[in-house]
Amino acid sequence: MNTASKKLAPHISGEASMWILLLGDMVIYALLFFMYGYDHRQEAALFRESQTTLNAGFGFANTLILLTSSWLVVMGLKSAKTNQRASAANFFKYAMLCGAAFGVSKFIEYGLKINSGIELTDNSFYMYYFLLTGFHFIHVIIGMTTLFFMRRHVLGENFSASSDNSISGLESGANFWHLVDLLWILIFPLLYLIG
Amino acid sequence: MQNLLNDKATHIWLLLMGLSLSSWILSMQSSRATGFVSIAIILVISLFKARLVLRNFMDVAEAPAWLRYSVDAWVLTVFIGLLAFFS
Amino acid sequence: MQLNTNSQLVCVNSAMILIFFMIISFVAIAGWMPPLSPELNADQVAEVFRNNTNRIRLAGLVMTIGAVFLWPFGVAISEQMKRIEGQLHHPLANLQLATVTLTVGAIFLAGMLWMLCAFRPERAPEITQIMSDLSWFFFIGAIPPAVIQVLAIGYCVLIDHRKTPVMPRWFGFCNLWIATGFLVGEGVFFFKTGPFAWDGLAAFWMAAFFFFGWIIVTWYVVRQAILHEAAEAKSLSAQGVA
Repeated sequence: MNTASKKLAPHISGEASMWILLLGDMVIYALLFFMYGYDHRQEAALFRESQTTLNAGFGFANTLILLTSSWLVVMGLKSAKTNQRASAANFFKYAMLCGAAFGVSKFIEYGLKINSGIELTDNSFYMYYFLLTGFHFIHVIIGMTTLFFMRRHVLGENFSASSDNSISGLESGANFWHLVDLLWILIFPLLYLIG
Repeated sequence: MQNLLNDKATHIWLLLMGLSLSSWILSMQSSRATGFVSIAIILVISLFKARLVLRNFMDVAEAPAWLRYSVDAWVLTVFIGLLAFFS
Repeated sequence: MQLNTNSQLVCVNSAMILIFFMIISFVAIAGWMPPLSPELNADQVAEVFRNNTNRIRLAGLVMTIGAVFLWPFGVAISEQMKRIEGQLHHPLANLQLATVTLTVGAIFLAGMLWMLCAFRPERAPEITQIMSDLSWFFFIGAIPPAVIQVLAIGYCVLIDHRKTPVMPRWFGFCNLWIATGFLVGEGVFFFKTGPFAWDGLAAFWMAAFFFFGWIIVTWYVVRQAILHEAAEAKSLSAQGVA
C-alpha cells in the first residue's frame, strides 16, 4: 500500500522554475489555437473543405504513438527512482523510438500532401496545418534530444537514485516530453476532427 | 509484467488511448464533426485527456495549489475559447 | 584593488535608452502601429514614403541611434555570463555577444533602409517597395541570431551550479521559453496576410511582446547580478582590511 506516500506535502515534478517554460509554451499554443479558431470562423467553408483533404488516420496514429511514448517515459522515471537503471534506460530508448516513428509518419504525411500539390501558402487552413504541426515537430526533435541525454544520464556514473538533482533533472526532461504529447492531444482534434 | 499492468500510469494510458479512439469515431459520422454537440463532446474529451496527462504524468495532481489552479485555468480557458470559436 | 561595477551598470541601463528610442521612432514619429501592410502594392508603398518623407527620415535616424544601445546591453550580459563560465574560456558569453551584434545590425539596417526609401521618394515605386520589403525582413524577420542568443544565455544560466547562482534559474528557463516565442515570427517570408505576416498578431505583436519583455526581464536580472557582485566585492575587501 502506498497511501502513506500519497499524503506527503505538495511536490512539484522536476525543477519548479522549469514550469515557466512549460506553462509559457502552453500559453503560446493556446494563443495559436485561438488564432486558428478565429480564422476558422471567418472562413468556415474554406477551412472545412481543406480539412477533408487531411487524413485523420495519420493524426490518430500519431496521437497513439505520443501517448505510448509518454507512458514509457513515466515508467522509465519510476524505474530510475527505484534504481533500476538498465530498465529505465530501455524505457527512455523506446520512447525515443516512438518519437522517431512520429517523425517518419509526419514525413510521409507531409510528402503525400506536397505530392498532391498542396503547399503552405495555398490558403489559411494549410498555413495553420503546416505551421502548427511544424512548430510542434520542432518540439518533438528537442524532446527526443532531451530523452537521449536522460538515457545517457541514467546510465552514467553521475546518476544516483537517491540524489534529488538526478531525479529532478530527469523529471524536468520527462515533463518536456509530456508537453509534446499534451500539445498534440489538442492539435489532433483541431486540425483533423472538428470543423 | 504483472507490475506494469497493475500500475496506475498504465490504466491512465489505456484510458487515454480509448478516449482518442472514441473522439476519432465520433468525428466519422460525416467526414468531420460539424454539429455543436459533437464538437463540444470532442473538445471535452480532448481537454480531459490533456488534464489527465498534466495531472497524472506531469504530477500536477500532487503539486502546490498555484500550479494546480494555473493548469486548470489554462484548460478551462482553452475549452471556453475554442467552444466559442467553433459554435 | 576596489572592484568598479559602475561601467557595467552604465552598459546594462542602456537597455532603457534602446527601448525609449525604438518606441519614439516607431510609434511616435513613424506611427507604424501596426507596420506598413505587406499587402500594399508598389504605388501605395511609394506614396507612404512620398507623403511622410521627413517624418520617416527622422524615424529611421532615431532607430539607427537607438539600435546601437543594444550593444552595451549585450556587453553587460556577457560580463555577467563570464562570472559563470570563468575568465579564461567563456564561449557562451562570446557567442551571446557575437549574436547580439547581428540583431543590432538588423535593427540598424531597418532604420537605414527607411531613410533610404524616403531619401528619393520620387523614384520608380518598385524600387522603393523592394527596399521597404527588405527593411521589414530585417526588422521583423531577422530572428535566428536572437534565438541563438537567448539559447546561449539560457544554457549558461542553467549550467551554473554554485550555491547562490549568478543569475536565477527561472531566468534560464525564461530564455528558453522566449526562444520558442521568437520562432513564431519566422513565417514573415511566406505570408502577406494573417497572423504570421509581418504586421500580424503572431509575427508582430507576439514578437514585440517577447522582444521587449526579454529586454526588461534581462535588464532587471543582469542589473541585480551586477549589484550583487559589487556588494560581494565590498564585503571581501572589508574583510581584507580587518
